[in-house]
Amino acid sequence: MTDLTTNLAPGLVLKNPVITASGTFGYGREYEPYLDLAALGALVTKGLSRRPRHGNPPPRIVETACGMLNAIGLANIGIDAFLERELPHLRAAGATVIVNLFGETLEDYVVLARQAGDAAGVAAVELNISCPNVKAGGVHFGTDPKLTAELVGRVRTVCPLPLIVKLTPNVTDVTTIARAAADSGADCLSLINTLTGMAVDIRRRRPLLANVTGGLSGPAIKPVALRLVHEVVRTVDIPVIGMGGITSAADALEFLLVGARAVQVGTYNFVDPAAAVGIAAGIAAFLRTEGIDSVADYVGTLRPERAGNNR
Amino acid sequence: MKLFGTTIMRFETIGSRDTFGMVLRCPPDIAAACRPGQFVMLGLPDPSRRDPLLKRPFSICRRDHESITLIIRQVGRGTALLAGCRTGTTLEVNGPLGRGFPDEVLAGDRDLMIVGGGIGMAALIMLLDEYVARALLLERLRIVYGARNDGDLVFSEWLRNFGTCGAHIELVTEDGSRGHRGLVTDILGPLLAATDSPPYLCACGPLPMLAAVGRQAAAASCPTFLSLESRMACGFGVCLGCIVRGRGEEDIGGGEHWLKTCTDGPVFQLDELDLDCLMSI
Repeated sequence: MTDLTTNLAPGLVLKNPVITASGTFGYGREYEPYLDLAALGALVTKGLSRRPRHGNPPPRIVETACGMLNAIGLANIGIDAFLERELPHLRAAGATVIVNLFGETLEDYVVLARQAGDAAGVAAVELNISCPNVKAGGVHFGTDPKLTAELVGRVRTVCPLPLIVKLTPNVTDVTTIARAAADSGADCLSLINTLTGMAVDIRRRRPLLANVTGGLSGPAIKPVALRLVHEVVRTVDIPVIGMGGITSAADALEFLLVGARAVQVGTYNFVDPAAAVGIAAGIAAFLRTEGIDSVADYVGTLRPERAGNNR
Repeated sequence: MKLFGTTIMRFETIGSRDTFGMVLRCPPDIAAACRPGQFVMLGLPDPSRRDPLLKRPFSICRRDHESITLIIRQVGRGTALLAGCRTGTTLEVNGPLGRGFPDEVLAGDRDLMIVGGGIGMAALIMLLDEYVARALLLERLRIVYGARNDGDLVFSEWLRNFGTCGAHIELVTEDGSRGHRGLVTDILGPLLAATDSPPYLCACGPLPMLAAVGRQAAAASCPTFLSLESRMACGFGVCLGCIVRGRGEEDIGGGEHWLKTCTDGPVFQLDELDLDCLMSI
């Protein structure tokens, strides 16, 4: 029996390394006709704010080559409604629940993290400091290492739960942000959030998204994501969760190989709502075929470039 | 489980070069569960290419015990790939999805007015089939079906059967190449004005048409149900990409209230929708 157990932090041990990504999995309920929520490594909720948010006007999505752009604008029911209405259901379903939190100010994040920490049945917190689709807050904290450090440090003091910080690829050097988060008390880093992009209609001469720009996701971004994960695992000592365009066990294994301890599946959940469970099974099958006993033995085993290729 | 693999049983020509019917094999329990107005997300052939990535939403136009029929109009890359499929090609389907027309419109206690615009008529055919299957009086059924031109009135042959059995059918084209010249609302207004008691009204078509039809129906006090079409990434309520502005009690502050076309609809009761917003999408 292949061991898929994945240790991300003290108190955060997953049954397998496949997590469903924030913003692609609602609050879990919608997926119950397709998979057993308890079979997931974990699920990450839609980004939650202190108050409910409506999000951006339509059109909010557009398909692009090997992926899609979205500008949803963090529409969500708010942390209170989540804790009251959705969390009990997820607990009853046996899901491992990671709550994704989003604020406009430092104070917002502190309040949200305290609420999540006080709630029974939350396995970990993922701080969204990387959403490209809202004007205030959020991404500002994820593009300036000083702000990242201040935010993570403050949240760390009020939140007893394992703390994951989700990073944006829309920066010059992701390693400075990664280091700031790790040095300020993050237990884990997750990356990448979407890449900022744009699409236009050449006849109507209009942007295809009401928000003009949106976040690019899907297989189109996988090579960029893999490169950034590779950089970050070599920079920090804490576990890294890799994501960006994963649609298969092979894709997930690429991230594990470069050093991600776990992966998140995002946009592909829309295409195949049972994908995450299939990917976990595919990872197990691959490891069995390779004669590897546990997924931890495969993580970060990328060999150096071949000597013959060095110039 | 709503996710199933299927094969294309056959294609149906429906009187237009760029529009065709695709008949997909369907497990009997799933076929039986399909309701008029519901839709499926249809995967593209050769999905391992991942490009285009997303499944596409299509109304369930017809069903029998072992198949469902979708009407596909070739407009972009995804539908071009579907047009290039052959009988026997395997595809993946997620569905049936969404909230269809409520059963009350088939109660027979009022006349039924069907208003279809362009390819939107596809979402109304199964409702007509169900109307016939329940042996309701065809004399109490009226259909107003419009398109840009004669070539786009792709369902007119299918509708003829209902007409010969007694249903009242009005065809409308914007260029006058067939039927009345103008818009469906030019015909619908007088029809509604002439009725003794307001009929159930079920409509599907372009959003500006639905907004106009909705206003006429409201003026005539018809119990009205509009089926909306939208781009969707998932089809089951998680991507939040297919929203329309609603009105009603669920406002969560700021005077706005969004509805998901996929799971709150695609069929909405008229008073759930903000018709002005439909015009602006």
